[in-house]
Amino acid sequence: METTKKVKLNAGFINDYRAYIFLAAVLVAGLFANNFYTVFNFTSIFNSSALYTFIGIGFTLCMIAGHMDLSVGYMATLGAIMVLGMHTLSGLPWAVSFIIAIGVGALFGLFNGVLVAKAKIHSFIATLGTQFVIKGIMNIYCNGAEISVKGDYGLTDAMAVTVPVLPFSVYFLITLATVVIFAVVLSKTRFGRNVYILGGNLETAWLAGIKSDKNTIVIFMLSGIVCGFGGALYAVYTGTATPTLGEKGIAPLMVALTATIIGGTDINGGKGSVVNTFISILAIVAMFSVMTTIVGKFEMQILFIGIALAFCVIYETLSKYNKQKTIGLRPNLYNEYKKETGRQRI
Amino acid sequence: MTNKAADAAAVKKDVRRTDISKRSIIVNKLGIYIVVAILLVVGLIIKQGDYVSIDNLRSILSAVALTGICCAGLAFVVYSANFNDMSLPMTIALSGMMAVQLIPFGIVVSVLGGLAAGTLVGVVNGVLIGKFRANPIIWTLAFNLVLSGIVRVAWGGSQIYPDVVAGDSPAALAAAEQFTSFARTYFLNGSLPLMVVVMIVLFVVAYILLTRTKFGNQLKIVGSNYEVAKLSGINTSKTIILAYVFCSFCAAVTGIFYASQTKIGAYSNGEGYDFSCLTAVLLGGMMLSGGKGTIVGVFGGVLVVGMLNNIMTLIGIPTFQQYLVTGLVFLFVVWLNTNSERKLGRA
Amino acid sequence: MSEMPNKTPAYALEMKNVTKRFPGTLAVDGVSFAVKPGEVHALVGENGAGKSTLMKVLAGLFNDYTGEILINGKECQLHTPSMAKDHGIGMIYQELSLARCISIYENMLAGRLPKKNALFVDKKEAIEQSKKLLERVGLDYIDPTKEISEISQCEAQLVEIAKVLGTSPHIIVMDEPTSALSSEEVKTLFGIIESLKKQGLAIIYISHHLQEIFEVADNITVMRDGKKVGTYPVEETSTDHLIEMMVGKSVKDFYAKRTATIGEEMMRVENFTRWGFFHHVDFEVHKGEVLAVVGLAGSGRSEIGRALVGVDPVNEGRILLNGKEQKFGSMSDAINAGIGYLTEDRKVAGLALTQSVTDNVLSTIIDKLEKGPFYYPKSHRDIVNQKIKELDIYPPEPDRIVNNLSGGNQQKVLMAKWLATDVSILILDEPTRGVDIGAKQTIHQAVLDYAARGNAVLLLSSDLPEVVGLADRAVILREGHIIGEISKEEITEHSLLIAANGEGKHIS
Repeated sequence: METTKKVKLNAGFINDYRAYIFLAAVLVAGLFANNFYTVFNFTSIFNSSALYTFIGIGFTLCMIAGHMDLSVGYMATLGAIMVLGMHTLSGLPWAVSFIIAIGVGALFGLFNGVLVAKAKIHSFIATLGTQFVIKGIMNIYCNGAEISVKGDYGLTDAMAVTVPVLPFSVYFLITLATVVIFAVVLSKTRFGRNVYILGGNLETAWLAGIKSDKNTIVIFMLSGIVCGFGGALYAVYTGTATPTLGEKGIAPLMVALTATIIGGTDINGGKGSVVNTFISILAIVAMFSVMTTIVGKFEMQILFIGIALAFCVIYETLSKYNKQKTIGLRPNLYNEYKKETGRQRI
Repeated sequence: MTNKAADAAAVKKDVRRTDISKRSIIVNKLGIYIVVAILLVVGLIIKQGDYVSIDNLRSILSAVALTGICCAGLAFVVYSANFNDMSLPMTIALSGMMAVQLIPFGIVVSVLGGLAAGTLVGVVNGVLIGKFRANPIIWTLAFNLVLSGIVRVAWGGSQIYPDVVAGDSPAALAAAEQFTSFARTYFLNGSLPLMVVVMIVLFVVAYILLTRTKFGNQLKIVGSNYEVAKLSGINTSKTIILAYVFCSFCAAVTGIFYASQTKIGAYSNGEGYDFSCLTAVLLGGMMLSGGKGTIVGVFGGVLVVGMLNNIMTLIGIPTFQQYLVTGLVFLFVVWLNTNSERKLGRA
Repeated sequence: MSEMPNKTPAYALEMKNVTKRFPGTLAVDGVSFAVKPGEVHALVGENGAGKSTLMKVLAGLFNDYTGEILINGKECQLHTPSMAKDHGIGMIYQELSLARCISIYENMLAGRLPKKNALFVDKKEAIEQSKKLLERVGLDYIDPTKEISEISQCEAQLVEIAKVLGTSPHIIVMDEPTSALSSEEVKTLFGIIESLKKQGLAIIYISHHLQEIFEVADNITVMRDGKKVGTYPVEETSTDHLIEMMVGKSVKDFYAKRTATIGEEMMRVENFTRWGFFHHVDFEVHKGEVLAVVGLAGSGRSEIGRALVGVDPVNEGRILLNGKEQKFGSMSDAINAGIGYLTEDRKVAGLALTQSVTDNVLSTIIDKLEKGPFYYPKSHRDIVNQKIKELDIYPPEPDRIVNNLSGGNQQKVLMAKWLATDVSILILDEPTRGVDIGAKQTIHQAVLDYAARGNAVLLLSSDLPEVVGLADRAVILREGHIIGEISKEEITEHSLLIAANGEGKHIS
């Protein structure tokens, strides 16, 4: 038993901390890249991880609850369009614009939540459809065109300000704060713990009197809110918002999905953490940076995160496939087996 | 026997239920053609005689052919209860680019290479999902990303053009010419595009596969309940692998026609196909829960998607509004689909 | 329970004339039943006697039962699970009510984690609370922040009990709590039940293992066919007496007597082992014989069935068919070699419910019906129609969706599916669970006819009258081992029950 435990512990350790190991590996690789360890580079890594982080939080949150929200990318784009549309086109103050951007995100989150919880549509199918609804509405609103901050760069500049010594911009600090808030909500509040139970075993949740429909809707709304907010921040930070944000280059959705899976969130729900997702996103963005200097090709980045994602999915699939074989094992017969054969593993 | 009487009494109560399910099956099978007819009438009202003109019908058919070819294959994945093949876009792109790249080796090698590359995707998907039971959505999304990386790295992220790839060799140029003419070949005095013929052929093949072969009939059981199929002596892995292979094969055909039509091999060739094809397949009455639906219905679904787009364009609905309509139609169809599943006793 | 009311009522729970009707059957028929605080009250009966339904009434799963339920002398309605919980009824479910990937303490306090202030969960307090509860079930050595998946099945079972204790119940219902436990673990559980008893809780204990009941219970209520047969103090009864009460006399004539002609050996299983599930199993089946494998819940019956047909792996031992050794990599290998396996749960693993009768009946033989890749289901109508006739499937419509058939007829379709394969050995895993008496009769006749045609049947069943009626021989399975054999002449429900409990002269 001792040896099996040890083996399990080791594999389990690597598995549990794979996001951190990935980050460490990238940081080591960074030693061989030019100008990787510079304040400027780190600032830019942190800033470009921000949008992915918001989307990743939304995606992870839904996945912990046992769902998949494929509309997170468009939700963020919508937030971006809305905030600049309200501010630049309609001339509303920033605060109101932000509230509207977040509100619209919440609205579509509610829409997703109702489709999943009340209409009982598979979450990935429902959100696949919502994507197009959002895409349509957003493009109708902005006429398919880019919206920019016009003249009023005060907030944009303020977000780019970095704190002394550390490579943290205000933009990144807001991101960090959001991660902390969601981490705390998920780990320290009753709602957060209920999310895990809902994803872990619906029967447990039902017996414990946790209202699954209501909670599911709230979860999707939170995902919409965080994505809308993230998109809005991104738009203000970069000064522009384009309706193709969710499609350009590596789709933010795919980065979020990859980070969520690498971060160890269970595909079937019940397990996961936004902090791990955040770490994975940092690792992915840092990897992009390393690769730009070493390989110099943007294409390699896609291939690499694709392989990382596929590797994790295969690993999880195979370990689940193997675990299936020992379900229902009787402990006394297992002890008998050990006595009889002297072996430990079946 | 007394239990006979009890059975009869129980059945009397049941009859109402069967009637509903029979009716809903008829609606599922033929309902889509009622929608086709309605759209035809709508089209006639908008454009009068012009709507049923050869020109317009041809343009509808040509427009749906690419989606249609893909749907013939995707129907099998949906039927096998694996929801959707999210790697369709890159399968289409990969096979198109592969075909274009192989043009210098002759048109036969080019087409076969394209088909082989696409089909290989199906083998990988099938093994992971059919044998090892990977989550079909997550895996195909992941594999789509891998393929996207491979395609972009292999071709340096650029587009390739048949005539450029062919270079100076006259034989290769002729092959390039032939390649681009695929999508522009017409029969019957220019009224019947080759693409449409291929689509119809693939639908016939799909129909035969699903209803007249052992594979199709076993897939029905696998789609209804994987465990039951396994315990009935059906080779579930093989069946699901075949479903994915056929799906990817059809996607590869789409990819080749797409490249031929646009004269471009690019990684963005298949964008949006995962969604639009699923819409058509579900519209055609394939059930997301698996094991229910017909190829005839899927063909109707393809027609409806084509006509809907055609009418929207005719009325002059801009692209952006079309996104919205497509999205709403999709959600509505999925909602209907899920609801009738629940009526059949499976949510 | 920490404090008892001043005026202690005589009974913690009284059920008076409780009746619950399902369409077509009276599952619980006017049962009255009472439990005192500090009493362990066992509820016994054969499968389908109504014990589980009665307990489901108590758990608040039905809102249409009739009769009175008094808790601590006060009448109350139990129409929802939360009403039952509020009245202090704690149900110990099997492991399924624990989320495996979540920590122990959170599972125990799911939905009611203590709060520090308006916002946050008080993790320290939660761990403290769960530790106290775990102590009550003797799990003081376990770290409550571990996940359920990290502890053993026995520990999970105890956590389940601790979880229920957390809702401070007056009454705890345990339904087959030992089916996944080894005998040492059962002893631990009994120690805990003893201490709960001392704490003044009323415990209702349901089990098929009669030995356990004599060890743990104070009073025993026997149920049969939805009715209560009687309640006996444990010292005034015996295993023999209980079994007599459980079995009754009425069913005896249900089965026609027959004389089987038993021929040469068809299948021999030697040293058949899947480590951790069943060890060193030996038996043989002859032509024309119905061999029953009898064992209580958790004895490894279905696992043997699954391994025999190649669905589950086998570690050691061999299968000989007509003297030749065979190895099966999958179900289709087994079918080709002539073995079929009718699975236990028709909804999960037996039938494609959304497909037609034709599709289901032919599903096992698609590969064999025609040569080449093509297949025309319509041309095999006659096979389906013949099976429908043979098994009296009603209504006799081959195109009917199986879901729209009654349970009994669904089970007949499942039987038809396997009879259609023409295999010479059929493994039947609970072939008549949960079906009406008419369908049962038809299926039993089909089994006997099948055996009489010179085939062999391996019957895995916990329905003892069924075993008595059908089997020509029975082997007794207990905790993954064959522990004895009973010949045709000596098979009675009585002898089977005694042997399955590991007692009596048939145990070798």
